[in-house]
Amino acid sequence: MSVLAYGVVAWLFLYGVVTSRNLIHLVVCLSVAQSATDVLLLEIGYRSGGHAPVFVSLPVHPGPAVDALMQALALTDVVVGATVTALLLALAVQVHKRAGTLDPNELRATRD
Amino acid sequence: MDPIVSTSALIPATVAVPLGGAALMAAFSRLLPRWARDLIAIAVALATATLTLVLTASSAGHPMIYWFAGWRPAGGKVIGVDYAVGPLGAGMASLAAVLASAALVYCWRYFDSARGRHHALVLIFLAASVDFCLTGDLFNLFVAFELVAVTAFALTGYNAGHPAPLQGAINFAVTNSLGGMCVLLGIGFLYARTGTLNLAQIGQTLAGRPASGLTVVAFALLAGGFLVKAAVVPFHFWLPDAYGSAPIPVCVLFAGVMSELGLFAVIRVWATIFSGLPGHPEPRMRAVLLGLGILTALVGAVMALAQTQLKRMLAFLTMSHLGIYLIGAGLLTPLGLAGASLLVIGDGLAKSALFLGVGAVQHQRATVSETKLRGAGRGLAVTGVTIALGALVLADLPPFVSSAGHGLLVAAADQAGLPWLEFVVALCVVLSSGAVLRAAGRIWLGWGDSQVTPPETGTADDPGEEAEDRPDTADTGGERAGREQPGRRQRVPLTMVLPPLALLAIGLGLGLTSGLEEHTAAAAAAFSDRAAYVAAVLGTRGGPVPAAGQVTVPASAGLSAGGVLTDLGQVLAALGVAGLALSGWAAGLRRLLAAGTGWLRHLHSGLVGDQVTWLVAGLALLAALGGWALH
Repeated sequence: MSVLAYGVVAWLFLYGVVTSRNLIHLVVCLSVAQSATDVLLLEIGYRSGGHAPVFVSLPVHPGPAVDALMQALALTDVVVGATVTALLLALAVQVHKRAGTLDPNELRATRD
Repeated sequence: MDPIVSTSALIPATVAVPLGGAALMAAFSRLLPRWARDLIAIAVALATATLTLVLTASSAGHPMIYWFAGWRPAGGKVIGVDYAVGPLGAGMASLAAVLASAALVYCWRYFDSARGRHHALVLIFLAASVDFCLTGDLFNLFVAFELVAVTAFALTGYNAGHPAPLQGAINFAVTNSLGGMCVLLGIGFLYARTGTLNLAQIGQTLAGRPASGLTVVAFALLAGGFLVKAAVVPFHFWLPDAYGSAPIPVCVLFAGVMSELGLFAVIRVWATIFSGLPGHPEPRMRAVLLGLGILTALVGAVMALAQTQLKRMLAFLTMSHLGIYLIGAGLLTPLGLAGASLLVIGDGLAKSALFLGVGAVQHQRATVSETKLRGAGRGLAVTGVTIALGALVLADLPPFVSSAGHGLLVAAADQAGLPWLEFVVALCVVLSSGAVLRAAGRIWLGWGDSQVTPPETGTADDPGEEAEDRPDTADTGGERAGREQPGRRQRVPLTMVLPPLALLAIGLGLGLTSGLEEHTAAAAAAFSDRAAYVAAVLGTRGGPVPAAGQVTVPASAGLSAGGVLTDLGQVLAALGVAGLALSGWAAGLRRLLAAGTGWLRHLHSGLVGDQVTWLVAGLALLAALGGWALH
């Protein structure tokens, strides 16, 4: 069921990206959709009743550990997402400086 | 033919050298004088080129498998992360390194104040591209994919002082981040299904089992994500915005390397994972890929002809050629893949030469508008010859290496029973090269009128062109002084004239190398052989390993009289298209064409919301087609 929830969240925010009239709003929508992906990855790696995949300097834990690989993948994506968000926000600041607007529909510099 | 489990430090060094160079460049660029920064960056790129070329030569005939930290598979189960080096992947990495070297040499005089950061970004881009080509692990592939993407976003928006690069970078970053998201989801689904991230092990786990819904969705997401990068219709809308506004040295890397990496990944994932699914999905998948390729090639060619802004024209030309590579690789035969590979190399060199030539024009004349530059080519003769020659090479002028690739592609289409593909490819090549030749004729010979298209569909008053008129320099202060006497500046610097000529010379040299077709066909056969790949990576003896030289190159594919005549015919037709576009009496025909393609140009609105809508629609289409092909 959480997979379904993920799908709803991701698609809702893609709708936000498509219809956005403000670059900051657009970047935030994109970043939420990306976070939804990370939640799904954690869900894929989850074992019910599993403990954190830490195996050093801790008392031996009974039962299974959740999948560390998916957590590593999600962590990587968090880093990538932060980089892209920062870059896009910086670009949005520059756009506001040069064009005086944040509405993507008013930016026509690359129109064909 | 035995695969080598290699512990040679050479393989990781191809990634470590540019990455280390980038770190040094970012850390110490303030302490170094300008010439030292440039020299170090060029030396690092050339060293990477040497290393990857050595890898290409030494992996020919037997794949080299490198396990990081020596974590080899135990009992057929993969634990570690591997590089699976074959001549095709290593060759792609070599092309990236050669083009990065040329771009860095070109930067010497292109930017008035190139800071260390630009060189560092180029070197990281190179390292990530090499990693992407060599890796045998999906996690690593994703990291390399995102690293290429993020450095590319930053490089596109490098001239943050102007509106066009900003908008291009935003469109590029939003659409490609969504592409990355799709790839990540696809990887997650494959992991959920198979419990491993190693390409060989995923392929082996899925082989022989009927495709579940999860597998189909994973395929659609992976292929969709990679096709965004490869700019295949309908995922391509970001490409003209990004290429049209990025600095010229960056365009070289994008057009020659980045988009091709997307196609490379699609074919790699197909060959190692999905080709093993039961029920013979190959003919249906061929239909899907060929359809996408033909559509991309046609749209790119028509749009290239409709442009008067030279960088956008080259962007659409790049797209058209990407469609042609997809046609070659999408035949899903070793011969088709070999033809596409040679085309990627030959066209990559020629496209880069074209971009660098246009950059020299922009540097001297401060505009890239074909109409404004009419007759302004005096004093730039060498650049003019470079651009014309590059366009002819893209029309498969023999004996350049593109011509050999074209021959292989035609032979592969014949073998697959689809000889009409040859005409589609020829039409697209002729139209897109004709567009460049038309521009060259107008600029250097002063032919044609200065107003090409009727005002209602023209781009003469396009704000994008105004934005492009400003030079691509990070520091505009020095450039303004130069603009006060337009056209009468110093001669074009040698570092801007020689790199494109050197690239064309490499293409010529490769074209004259004998046995290149056979070697490439053998490499492509090894690349497409899933069983051999699995056996090499897992270290098992899974069935007989076919000899690499098994694929025979038909006699007609080489430099035979028929092939040469076809290629010369294409070259003449491209010249004819250019002449027709410039002559006075064909004005009515041109107006008709402009009216007929108006709706297509209207679709390229440059709005990021539209681009994301197309992306989502394309994904849905791909999921439907994938379900049809794989079930």
